[in-house]
Amino acid sequence: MVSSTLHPGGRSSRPRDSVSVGVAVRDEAVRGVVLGLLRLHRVPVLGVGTKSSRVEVGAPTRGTSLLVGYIASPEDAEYFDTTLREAGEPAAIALVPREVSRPVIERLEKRGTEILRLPTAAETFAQVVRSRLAILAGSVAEGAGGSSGKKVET
Amino acid sequence: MSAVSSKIADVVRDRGVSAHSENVPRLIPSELDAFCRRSGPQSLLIRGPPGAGKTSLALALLESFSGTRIMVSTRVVDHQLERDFPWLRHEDAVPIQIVNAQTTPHALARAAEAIDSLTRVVEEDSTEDMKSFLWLPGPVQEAYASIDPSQPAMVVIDSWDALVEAFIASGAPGRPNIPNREDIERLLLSYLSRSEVTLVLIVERAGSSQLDYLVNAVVTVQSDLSGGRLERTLAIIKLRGLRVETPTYPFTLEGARFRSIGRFRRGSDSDDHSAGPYLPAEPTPQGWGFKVWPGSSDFDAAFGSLLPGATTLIEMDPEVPLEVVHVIIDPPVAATLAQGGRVLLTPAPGTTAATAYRYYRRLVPASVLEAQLRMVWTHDPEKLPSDIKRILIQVDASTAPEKPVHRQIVREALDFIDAAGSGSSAVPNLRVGSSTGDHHVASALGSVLVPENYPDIASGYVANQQSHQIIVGWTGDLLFHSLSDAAALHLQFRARNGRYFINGLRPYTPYYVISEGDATHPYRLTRMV
Repeated sequence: MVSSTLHPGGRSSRPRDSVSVGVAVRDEAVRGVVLGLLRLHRVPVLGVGTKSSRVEVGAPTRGTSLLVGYIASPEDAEYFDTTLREAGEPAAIALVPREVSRPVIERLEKRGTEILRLPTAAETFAQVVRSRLAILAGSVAEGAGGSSGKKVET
Repeated sequence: MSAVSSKIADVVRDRGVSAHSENVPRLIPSELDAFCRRSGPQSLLIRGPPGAGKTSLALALLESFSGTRIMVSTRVVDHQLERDFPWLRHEDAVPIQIVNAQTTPHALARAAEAIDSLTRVVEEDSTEDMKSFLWLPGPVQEAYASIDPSQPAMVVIDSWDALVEAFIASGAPGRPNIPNREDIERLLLSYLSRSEVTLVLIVERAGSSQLDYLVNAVVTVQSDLSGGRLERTLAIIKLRGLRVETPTYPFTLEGARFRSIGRFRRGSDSDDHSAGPYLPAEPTPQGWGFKVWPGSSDFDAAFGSLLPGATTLIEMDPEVPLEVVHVIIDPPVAATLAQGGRVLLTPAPGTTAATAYRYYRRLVPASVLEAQLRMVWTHDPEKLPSDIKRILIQVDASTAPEKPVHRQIVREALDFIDAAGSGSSAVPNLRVGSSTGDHHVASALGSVLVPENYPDIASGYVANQQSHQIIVGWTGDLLFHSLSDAAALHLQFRARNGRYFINGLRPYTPYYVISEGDATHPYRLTRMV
């Protein structure tokens, strides 16, 4: 899904000034669920998939502030890694089914990815994403010299 | 500022007209403006065929809205929206978030698969809301996500027909319990009504549907060709909870912007008949030359110059009040008087000498009127004030048809209009008459005006190239139409639903709608495109 903002003066762009969320989920059905969950909880999604994988035509994920992935297999893990690199190593949340082995999870945690075990309550998922976005928005505001009360736009 | 210009400014002040008059052609109808300003979730359906102006109206609604603006549009590829509506690039344009409305292949089947996979991600007891939400097309989900529930928002879906039909057509073969269009529309309205959202749905298909009953408001837009000229009309079909003062609005897409035209409230609708006709003229431009200034830059841009030696015909249908025609006629009269030119009036039957005199008297001193204004008058002048009597060329029916008297009166009128003006810069004189008025005067003089002799008689007033004449007549009046071949400018005035359209027959022009003026314009003409 391509979302952009028509700015006065003729600039048409995605809202880069604010934190933004991308989705890296190889499994089409689960991707639909993740997208729906994010959107139902008022989190617009900037990019889907990777440029190289062509899983789904969408905006490239470079510039994404937070990447949400789903890892149930080694192929999923590889896809997630690729997408993370293409997106410039943003903050990440990995949705991981309970049957996934501990070493896989440890590898994700080692690179700073937040783990959310599945299945989970929809509200729990939303809270995890929101709190991570709030932290990112705070750092964006600090980086811009703004106040901590900056509105989170996603 | 000259004395006359100063006087014009006084008149403007007296009439309470400000530079921000609400009479300036408005962007959207006042009823829709009020609708969009209401708080709480609400929905509006805009229906019309392709090219009728639906997107332009929706953009105008977004532009006038003060909260979050979201447009779900199919015109995203290659910046088509900006190409079609270049004003969106202007510095003062409002920011609009655009969501690509093009659905992905197999979107419906993917939604069904996602619903089947819900419990892989979400615990069973929190899937209900998600199940419904996933049946919404992706672009609608994205628009929903972009809404801050604590802020008012307007979401336009352009077009809902294209979006929902592509979504359904993407298909989910073999899958039971797939929602149909009506189900999806109910879900759409249900989710979008969770916060303070004004939802605007654009549809192309003709005829009403379930949506007409579900939404709070329905408007239609359409365009028609009339005499080869384009007319666009907005009709308010339904507006729940608001009184519809004016159910139809002509509108124009000049400059790729929607602009509706309200009812014209001067002229016959005005309570202020005693003040005489309307607003004065715009000042004559520097270096205007030996032409009659029409008193309106809009008129000049639309129809061109009023040249000496030429005749302008203003043809009106019976629905057009004479007062409205005066909105066009009076500015060149005022401008000519202000520039030192002479004006000869032959009022139409029913027009009082006092009304015309009072209006021009407000703009120029009595001495100027005495020198520069004459009115051919066939009625008993006894009860008129002396200052009015001094400007009359009196036709005394009791002495007609004595030929010497007849010739004397005509000679007096022709001598007056043929003389050079008295101003510092030479300007042409102006004769304003009507075919019925000329016929009335001729009858009072014992003559008969017929289509065979009227063109020659009328052309006598402009024969020496010192003056321009404007003649008003009714559509279908043979006497009036006998002048058509000789007219340099032939305008047509029509009334419809309280609006007044004017167009050029010669030269050919599109329709213009006349609307009230402001502090600097006696009236405005809006081109219908």
